[in-house]
Order: sequence, then structure tokens, then C-alpha cells
Amino acid sequence: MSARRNRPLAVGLTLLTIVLAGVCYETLLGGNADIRIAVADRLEPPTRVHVFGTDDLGRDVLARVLGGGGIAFEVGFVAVGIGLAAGVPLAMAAVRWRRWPARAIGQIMDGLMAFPAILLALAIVAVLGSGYVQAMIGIGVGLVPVFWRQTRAQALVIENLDFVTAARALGASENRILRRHILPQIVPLLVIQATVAFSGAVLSEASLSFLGVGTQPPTPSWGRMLLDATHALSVAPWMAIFPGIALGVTVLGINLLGDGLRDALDPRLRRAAGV
Amino acid sequence: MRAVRVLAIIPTVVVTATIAFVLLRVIPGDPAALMLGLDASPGELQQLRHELGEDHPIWEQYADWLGGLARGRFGDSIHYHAPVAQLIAERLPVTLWLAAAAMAVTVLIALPLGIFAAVRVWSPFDLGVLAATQVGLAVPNFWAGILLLLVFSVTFKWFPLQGYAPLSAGVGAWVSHLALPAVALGAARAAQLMRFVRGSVVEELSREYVRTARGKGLGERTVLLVHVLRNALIPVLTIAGLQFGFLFGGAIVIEQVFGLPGMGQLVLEGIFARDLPVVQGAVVVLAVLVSALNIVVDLLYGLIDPRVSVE
Repeated sequence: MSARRNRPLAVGLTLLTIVLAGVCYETLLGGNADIRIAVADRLEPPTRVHVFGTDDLGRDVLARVLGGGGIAFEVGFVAVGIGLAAGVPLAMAAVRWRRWPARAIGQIMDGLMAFPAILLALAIVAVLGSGYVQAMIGIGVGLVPVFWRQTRAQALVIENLDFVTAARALGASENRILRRHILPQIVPLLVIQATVAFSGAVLSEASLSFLGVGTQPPTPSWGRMLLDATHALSVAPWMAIFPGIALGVTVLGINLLGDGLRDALDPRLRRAAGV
Repeated sequence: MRAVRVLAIIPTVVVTATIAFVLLRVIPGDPAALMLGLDASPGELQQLRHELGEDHPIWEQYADWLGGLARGRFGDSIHYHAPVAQLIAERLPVTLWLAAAAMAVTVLIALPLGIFAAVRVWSPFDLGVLAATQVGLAVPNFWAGILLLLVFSVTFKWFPLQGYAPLSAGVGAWVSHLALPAVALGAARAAQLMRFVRGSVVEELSREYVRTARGKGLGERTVLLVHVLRNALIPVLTIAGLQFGFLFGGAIVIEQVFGLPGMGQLVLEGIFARDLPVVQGAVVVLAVLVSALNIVVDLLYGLIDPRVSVE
């Protein structure tokens, strides 16, 4: 399918480009507008100077929304990185050595899967303390069983295909088969899975910060901004609206990108109904 | 066979409890030091270590923890000076009602809209539903909650801003406190379920038996209600079951938006007060609940679809 006809991919990429351009502008060129406090300007509704209005400390909401985007992407990348870095090798090990490591790893992964992602992250934050690094770790650990399960299931299917049998018959070692024949087949699936996980991680970071245990002030975070907004809901509704829109648009962009990638990378997964 | 499947909850509980134990008791090294902070006196530390049972070897603590769980005991809260089991018993009903109400919202939105969209596949209505599901999946539930508060509580003042009223305080008060949280939590889940309902019905509609039914001269309504839905909704049930995990996870956050005194608030209060026994107990109860519900759904799946044998 050509990129031109893949509408989800195009729309997703457009949305993400807009968000990322804003985030880069703020973090690279805008400086520290997000922490500039001006109490005289507090709770100002949207104007030409402050397009998204100001918050309870007189900080520009637009600058903070863009700054919060940087944190969201950072947490997303690191958390997905943790999930991939631990989940994929563990899955490969479970396929390579079937007996005891597979069983033990499987039990632990199933146990971890029983925890709703946010709950696991909360338990980890309870031990490590609040903060966005801890939130990244908490969210990342929750993603390990997700990648583990996907990778393992797919590897077990591919392992029984004829070309693997052929490679084995030609004398390829088990390690070589895993590395050279099975893993490359799984990469497209992992790319799709990573996109899905990324949007989940962005949402989780926002949730944790909203609960007050993720990113801590004064660092801007969409979740934290929404938490602050709930205290001023009747006087400054714009504080609640713009961070939410930014979060929604980003997640929508990533989800559409994921749908588009699925269509582009794995035609077998494409549903007849176009879902 | 079914009894065996029900018994399968036991290893899940043990593994879940073990993970919670390792996370909250082993990884911190000295939980007492973590709970009291840096400025604790050695005497206080010693006292808390004793209360937590930390002066016993770790395997003994582990055995105590598992043994306590089997008898429904989770230890004592340091902050509330009360048994954790009692705190959980007070908070759990709120979360269960919230999850149940949200599930009802999810199903009530997802089923009719998903089926209608599938019947008129690629019509403007269907495209509208598809677009709405994308938006629904992207909107975080707590933001949806804040927007609902903004519109219905702050502007129109139709619903209370914060808090919870138990069923014993009257059905009206109970519903008015639970309605907005349930919609906020259920709407995003509905978006996901709707995609599956639609996909499943579209797939079934293209099967041979549907052509046969139509060929026999059956009306579209009979074909859809008697033939298609019975098959299409079987896989949907599994997906609906998986939503429980998301619902309980989401409930933790939604409780914060609406000030509902449920399990999510208990976990958070535990985290902020560094009350590890509370966090540990609440986390295990929620995780076990999600596992148990998934097993129930598996069993239902076997009951509804005779082709599925539940191993």
C-alpha cells in the first residue's frame, strides 16, 4: 500500500509533526518560559499575548503545554525502551531454553500481567518515590510482559515454519536460527507493538502525574497541569482544556500512526473490515 | 474441568502476592527506613521494624504474608492504626460499584452502536462511529472526567462536584454521585469494545450461513438477531472481560477526579503516607480481583460457545 493511500499513517504523522514541532520550538528555542512566574498575570483567560491563557502562578499555559510534550515523549521513549530491552531477550530465552527458564519466566510474566499497568507503576513509585524517572521505570516494567508475550507467541509460530526447519536441516545452530531467521521476522510486529505501547506510556505518565506521583513541579507535565486545573475549575477552565487537548491529539496521532504502520508493514494483520 | 480452572486462581494469587512482596518488602531493603524517612530515630526504626515483622528472616516474613493472605489478613496499617483488611473492606465496594457502573456504560454504548455501524458498513454513520472511536481511545479518562465536571457540575450544577454516597443513603444520591465517574471511565472502554463489536459483526455477516438464512427468505432482523449476533458476540465477550483490567486501573485515577473514597484513593493515601502494608494489601486485592474476573470470563466463554473447551 502506498503511503499516499494510507490515510491513518498520513494523518497520524501530520498530527505528530505539529506536536513535535511545537515541543522542539519550546524546548530548544523558547527557553524556560514554563517556569517564569508572573503573579500579576495569574489566571488570565486566553488573549493575544497568552494564547492558551495563564495558570494560577501566571505562567503561560501554551509554553507549559509545549514543555509538557517534551516530558511526555521522553517518558514514552524510555518506557518503551525498557519494555523492549527486557521483554524481547527474555522471550527469546524462553523460546531457546524451553524447560525451566521458560516456565519460571512465564509464571512471573503472567503474574505481572495480572496487575493493571497503572497499579504496577504505583507500586513501583511507592518504593522508589515520586518523580518522572521513577514513573518511567514503573511504566517500562509494566511493558516488559506485553513485549514478552507478543514476541514469544510470534517466535513460536515462526519456529514451526518450513524455512526454519530447512535452516535447521542445513545445520544452523539454534542461536543462529533465533538471531538470523526468527528475530527479523518479528521486527515489523515489534514496531507496531512499540507504537501502541508508546501511546499507552504517554497516557500512563499523564495519569501518574495527575495522581501527583509522576513528574513533580515545576517541571511541566500534562497530567500535573490537569491536576492543578481541577483546583481552579470554575475560575480558569482553560487550564483544564488545553493540556487535555494536547494529550488527546498526541495520543490520537500515535494511535493513527500505529494503525497506518500495521497496514503498511503487515498486510496479514489488516482486517477485512478496515478496523 | 471447570473446577480445575477455578483452582487455577491459586497459583495466580501466589505469584501476584509474591510479586507484591518482592516489590514492596524486598526491593526497598529496609521498608521501615523507607517509611519513616531520613530523620527517624534508631528507637522508632527499631519499633517499626518489629511491628512490620522485619526482625524475622525474610523467608519467615514471606510465609507470614502468604499465610495471612490465606486467612484474609494483610497486616496492620501504620498510618491508620487499623487492620489493612478492614480499610480494604470499607473502600472496595466503592471501586466495585464504579467498575460495574462503568462496565454497564461501556456495554450500553458499544453494543448498539457497534452493531448498527456493522450493518451499514462504510456508510456515513459507520465512518462517524469509527472516527468517534479513535477520539474516544485518545481522550484520557481523567480528562473526560474533568470535562464532565466542568459542564455538568460547574456550569449546569446537575451533579455534585465531589464525593460519594453509599446505596444506603438513597438510590438518587448514589446514582448522582456515580453517574459522571461511570461515564468518564466507561466511554473510552466503549470506544475500544465498539471497534471489536463492529469488526466481529462485519466478519460474521460475510459468512455462508448468513447467505443461506437470507436465501431461506428470513428477514434481515431475524438474520441479524438470531443468527449473526449469537456468533459475533462470542469473541466480544473475551474483549469485554479484558476491559476489567483497564476498568480497575482507570478507576484508580477516576476516583481522584471525583473524590470517591475507593481503592485507588487508599493506594494513593498509602503511597503519600509511606504506609507500605496498605499499598501492598490494596495492590494484591486489585490484582487478584482482575485475575479472578478474567477466569470467570473464560468460564463463561466455555459455557456460551460449546466449541471452546476450557483447558
